[in-house]
Amino acid sequence: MTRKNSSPRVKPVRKYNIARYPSHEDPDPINHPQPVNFPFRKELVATLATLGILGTKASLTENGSAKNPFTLEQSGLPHQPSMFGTGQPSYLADKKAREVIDRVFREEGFTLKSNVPYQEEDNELVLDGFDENDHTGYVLAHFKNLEKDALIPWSPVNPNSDPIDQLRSRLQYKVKNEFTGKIKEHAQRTLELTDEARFRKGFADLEKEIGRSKLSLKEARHLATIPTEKKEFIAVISLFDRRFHITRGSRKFDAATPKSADELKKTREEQVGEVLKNLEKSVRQYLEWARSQGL
Amino acid sequence: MLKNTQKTLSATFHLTHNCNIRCTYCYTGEKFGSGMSPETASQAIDFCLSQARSQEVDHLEIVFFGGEPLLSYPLLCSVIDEFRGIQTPFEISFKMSTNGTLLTEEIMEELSRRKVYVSISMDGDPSVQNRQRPDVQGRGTAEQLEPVMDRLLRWNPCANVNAVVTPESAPVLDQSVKWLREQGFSYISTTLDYSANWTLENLKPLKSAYERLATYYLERTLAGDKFYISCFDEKIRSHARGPLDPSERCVLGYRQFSIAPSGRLYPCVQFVGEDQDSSFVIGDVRTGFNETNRNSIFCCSEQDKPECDGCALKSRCSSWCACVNWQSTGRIDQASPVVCEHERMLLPIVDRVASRLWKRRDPLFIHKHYNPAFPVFSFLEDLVLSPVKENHS
Ligand code: SF4
Repeated sequence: MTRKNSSPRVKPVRKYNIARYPSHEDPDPINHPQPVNFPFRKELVATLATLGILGTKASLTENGSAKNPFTLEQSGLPHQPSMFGTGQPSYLADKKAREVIDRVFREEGFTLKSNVPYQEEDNELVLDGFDENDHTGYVLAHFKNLEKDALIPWSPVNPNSDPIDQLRSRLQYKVKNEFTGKIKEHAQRTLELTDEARFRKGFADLEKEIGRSKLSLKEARHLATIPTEKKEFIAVISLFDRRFHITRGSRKFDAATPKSADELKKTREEQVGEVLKNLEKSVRQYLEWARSQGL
Repeated sequence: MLKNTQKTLSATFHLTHNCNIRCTYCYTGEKFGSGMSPETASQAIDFCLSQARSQEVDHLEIVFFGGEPLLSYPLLCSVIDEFRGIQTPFEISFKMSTNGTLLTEEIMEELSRRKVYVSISMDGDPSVQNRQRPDVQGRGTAEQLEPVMDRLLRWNPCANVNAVVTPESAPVLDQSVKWLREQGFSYISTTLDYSANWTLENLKPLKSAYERLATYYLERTLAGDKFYISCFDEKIRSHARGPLDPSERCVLGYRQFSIAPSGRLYPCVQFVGEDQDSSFVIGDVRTGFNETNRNSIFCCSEQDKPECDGCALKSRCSSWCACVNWQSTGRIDQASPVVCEHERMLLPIVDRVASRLWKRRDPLFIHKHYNPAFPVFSFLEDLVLSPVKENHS
């Protein structure tokens, strides 16, 4: 007799990775360093606490005690670069920072997609990581991706100078120092345009082309202040945030106590390790805060 | 994580084959009148005690099952009283599974005094209940059970309700569970009628119902509503706490057995039926276990199932349960195709919702599944701090 198609069958499942919550082989979540609120009525909690049987297994903290560690005030934006590379700390490599951030999101159960376009009102940018199910993610502010309004120029722009000249000089600087590949070619062609109207149009097109990968201050502000009722949590993580500065392990900061190159390297590595830990802690804190806001 | 290391022996007394209702899916066979005699009951008590002593258990669990045990109510009370009158080095607890129709205020009070944990069988809202669980005349039983639910929950807010899911009721499983929750039940067990004619077509609406139930589970958990829905919570448990430990499993015929009204012994309630099929008889309370039968049934059920080789769900799958395999395929040594389809359908739905709750670090989810003291705290909250009934709609 042949089996009907509609009959259930025994069919082993070869690969299964849908369960993204701790298994019996993972560290016990109850003993997680971040305390878990106690989900019982206050009378019970009070009674158990009096009897001393609550132990360390749970916390009595109220929901909402967590704070957002990535406010715009903390971000160090707008950022003012220094003229000759002196007097300022050095910053984490964006690649290293992204690795840590992505790992923490993953460990906390999020599935981030990278380079996700984000558009809301007239803000249009690309998020470094975004979980589409939970509307949670982050954008990383670093030197290479900041829009002009997020950078305070070292020498103020002369308000009387010709705006076209200002655009041209900015473009020249970028062609020389920042742009690569197709954008560089496009910018080069734009620079060569002599007609003002055509130059403006070319400049606008170019901005459009590169604009999505740049983070403006306006966009950073928008993301950092999304009302929590919207249940959309996008952390603006900035490498200019003081908590992530690297001040040790360089001659300019350690000049008072001269060190060998090896010693400096070691000191720097140690501090990079500390800064990465700070970053990890802040990302966890951010997710904790987002959860307390109803993520 | 903490495992239950208590050694428990569970003995189920089938005091009668008779029943006053006619569930469409009933597997206990013809409802003939023969009940357990007082002599057989006494011999069964002695047998259970001697088994508990020889196995050196910490806990002897006596379950009253049917037919409808309340049709033999005087015998049920005398069995409990006889057990209670004997000093034992182990704890004895009592459970009863009833259709509820005979559960009067007086009986409820007496059962509570005797510390019997009563669990009621109801399949869902009145339309499902009336269709699947009519009385002898074919009339619905929902109306009759309305005051019973209140009564039961007043005496025990932690009372469990068992709902059987058939291909007919599967499309509204989510509604059934919600309705039971709205009546105040916090412990809801759902079981598939594995003997039914399940096909891929009629499993589809069940999948949709589970998906809707997942949304409900998520919302209610996030709202701090403390409840247990077996089809979700047991599956989450199988990941969070790992496969069942031998001390937590029935161990067919060894840690668990059923006593038919005649005194014959069976490995599980599912096999008692009309007490006519000798192939699953593993002994008699008067003569003890037939070790050859008991062992061969046990070994047969524990055999590795080659059809499941390499399956990533194996440690979490219910195909270890000989009874459901037997119900569905007539064999105890083969994984049931219905179980298999069902597990492959349910696990991803449950795991997705659990992952979302974990992602939100939901305190109720974490404590429920990872804090070994949760059941005790929950019990204290429900029973000691007289609960305020809330509208869970
Ligand atoms: S019954 Fe199916 S899901 Fe279960 S272990 Fe066997 S193959 Fe896997």
